[in-house]
Amino acid sequence: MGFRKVAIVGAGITKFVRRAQETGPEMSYLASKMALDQAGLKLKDVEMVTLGTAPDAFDGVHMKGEYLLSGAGGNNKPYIRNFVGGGTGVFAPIHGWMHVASGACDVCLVVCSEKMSSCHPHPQGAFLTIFDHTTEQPLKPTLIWIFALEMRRYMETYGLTKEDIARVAVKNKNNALDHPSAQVAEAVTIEDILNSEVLAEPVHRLDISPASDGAAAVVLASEDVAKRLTDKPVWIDGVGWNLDTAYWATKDLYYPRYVEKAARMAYEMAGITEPHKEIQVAEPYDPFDYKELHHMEGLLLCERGEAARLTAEGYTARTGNLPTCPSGGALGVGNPIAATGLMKVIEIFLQLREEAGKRQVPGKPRVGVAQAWGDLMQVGTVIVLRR
Amino acid sequence: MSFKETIQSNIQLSYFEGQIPVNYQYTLGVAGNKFFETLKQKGEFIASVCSHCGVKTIYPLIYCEECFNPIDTYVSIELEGELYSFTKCYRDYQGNTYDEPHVIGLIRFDGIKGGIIHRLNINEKDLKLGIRVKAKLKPTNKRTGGLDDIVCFEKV
Amino acid sequence: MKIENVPVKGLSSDEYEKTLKISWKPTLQYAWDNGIGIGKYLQSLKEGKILAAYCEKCGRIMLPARAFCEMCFRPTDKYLPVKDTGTVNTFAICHVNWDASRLKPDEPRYIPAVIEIDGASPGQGIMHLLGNVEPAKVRIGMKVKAVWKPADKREGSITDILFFEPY
Repeated sequence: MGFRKVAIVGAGITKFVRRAQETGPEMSYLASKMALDQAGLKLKDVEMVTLGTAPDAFDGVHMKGEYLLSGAGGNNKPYIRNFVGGGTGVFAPIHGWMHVASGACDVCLVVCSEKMSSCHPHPQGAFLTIFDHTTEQPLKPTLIWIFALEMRRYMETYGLTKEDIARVAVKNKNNALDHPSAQVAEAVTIEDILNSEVLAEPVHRLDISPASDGAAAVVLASEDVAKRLTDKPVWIDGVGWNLDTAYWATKDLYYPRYVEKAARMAYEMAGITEPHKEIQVAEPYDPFDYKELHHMEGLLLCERGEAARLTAEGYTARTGNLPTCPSGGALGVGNPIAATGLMKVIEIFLQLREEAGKRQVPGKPRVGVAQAWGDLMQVGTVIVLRR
Repeated sequence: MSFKETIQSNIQLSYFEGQIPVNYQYTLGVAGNKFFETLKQKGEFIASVCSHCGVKTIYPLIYCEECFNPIDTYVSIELEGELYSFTKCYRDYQGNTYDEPHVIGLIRFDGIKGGIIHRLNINEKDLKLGIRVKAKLKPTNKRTGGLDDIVCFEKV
Repeated sequence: MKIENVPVKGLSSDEYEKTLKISWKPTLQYAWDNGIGIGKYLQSLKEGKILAAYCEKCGRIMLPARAFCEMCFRPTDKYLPVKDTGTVNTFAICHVNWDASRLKPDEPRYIPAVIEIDGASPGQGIMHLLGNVEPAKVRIGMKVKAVWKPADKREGSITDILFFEPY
């Protein structure tokens, strides 16, 4: 399609924590510097910078993009912030890909950062205005409502139980025990999930990822530069993104059509025709446990309604046929919105390089997919990586 | 092209009122905490010093904006600097008139990148760019580790 | 390339108390214009009717009422009232407030639901609350009807419908 090849050549990430001492720019710096060091580059080698971060109301800093600029290495460079809700963390590297694939530059730094702990009494308050101010806010909704509504519809459509859903949280929180950034890794069982507090039936507290502070970064390079820098470039083979209507109550809540559309766009670019056979490792977005199942189906990694059964059979375990969220996901590593999506991209990058340490999935995977999701059941962002 | 039906009567125009009911607690960060703890405890300003390219910065940073190397060196600097620019403000951020105009200046410190924006307490006739000014601090027992530990800057 | 020893210091509650912090409470207030489609929708609620918008190109009867059809990308053709009954598409039973604080044991639970309104095109749902029903008895597919505020108390708000109840 006339795009230049783009590789990821370095990655950096901070711990994900409940409350960081560091400011947003300081966290951005630590992740960016690690990514540049890993790539063997200096800031002067970076031609352009893209930054992904969630709404200003989380950090409580207006013009957050500009605030984070210097820590993200963007001073006096072509720099741009992008935002598509929770889908931002996978969109940020897509945005960086546009810069390099188009020929606008050879080296682009991609940074994502979030500091949600500034927001009191709870970051949920900043979510209130995602609901329509006239037709929904007067009902005093909380963010959990919409997830509970979507989860119930999904369970009802396919006859799933809460146990079916809880298996995802068990898998991911256990996987996260091996991730150095993890905030809420825990050797939990299905009983622990089901016995945790009910927040909005059918959603329990341990079905949900936490609010977090954290940052992540990757360095993207054009083919020539990538081959000079490393003998293990990981190529961005396909990208896709798609947004559905904000009239969320009018949609089929049991199936994320917009994720499928984003996935089809990415697969077509990557020449993937049978994703369930060709994708060998996946990081679907899992802010809630049922979301991983929802997104596996949207990503066409299995038939609709099949994801829960496959999870129960161990198909998505690290040693399964399709390891899913081997990082530990948002449920285990934590969920500093934009940084979470990029953490997932980094996980696939490391898995394909066989550098994921204790998290490494067997079988020398060559192709993986990362996906993020956001806003009012609206946004799908998908990236396919290949070694 | 326009919408086929619009609202013709002004009394039918309506709006919905609301707010985003949150407040914020910002940690000052690694370098920010160092600056304001030092100000609180010792009554001194500190700048960060990049050991790679030598650039000194106030407020201090944990990284060099110039060469992007990490910083772990911080030095005390004089409370005295040069008035780089100033403004006289008559209204606050919500548009209310101040009892007395506020004079706000940007103070630069010798050989150091960056500066401090603060209140000035300087006679009108002396108020010129380039004059030497010095921070007046609150007494030690009144300092809390924030910008108000500096009362104002005065002419030297 | 190995990613280990990742930086950033998480603060314990004790450390967080001791670290320097700056507080800010924004004093912003908003007045959001309802505009044309929603303005009509709300005006109609005041009159005790749920108003939909019709697009003659795709034939959809859409809720809430809107000034343009986002699928055909053209102005909607007319506004028309639909019924105040519908079917529960999905629901939740919520035990927490917006700020994540917990409801007390004796406080009534919110039961938010997506309700597909009769007379609108299939799948055209709105979010509202269910009431006058035991939480344990709520089912997907349940038929529900709007319970309105008394006419003289209505103010042109979605809360002019108090909740939907089974009928």
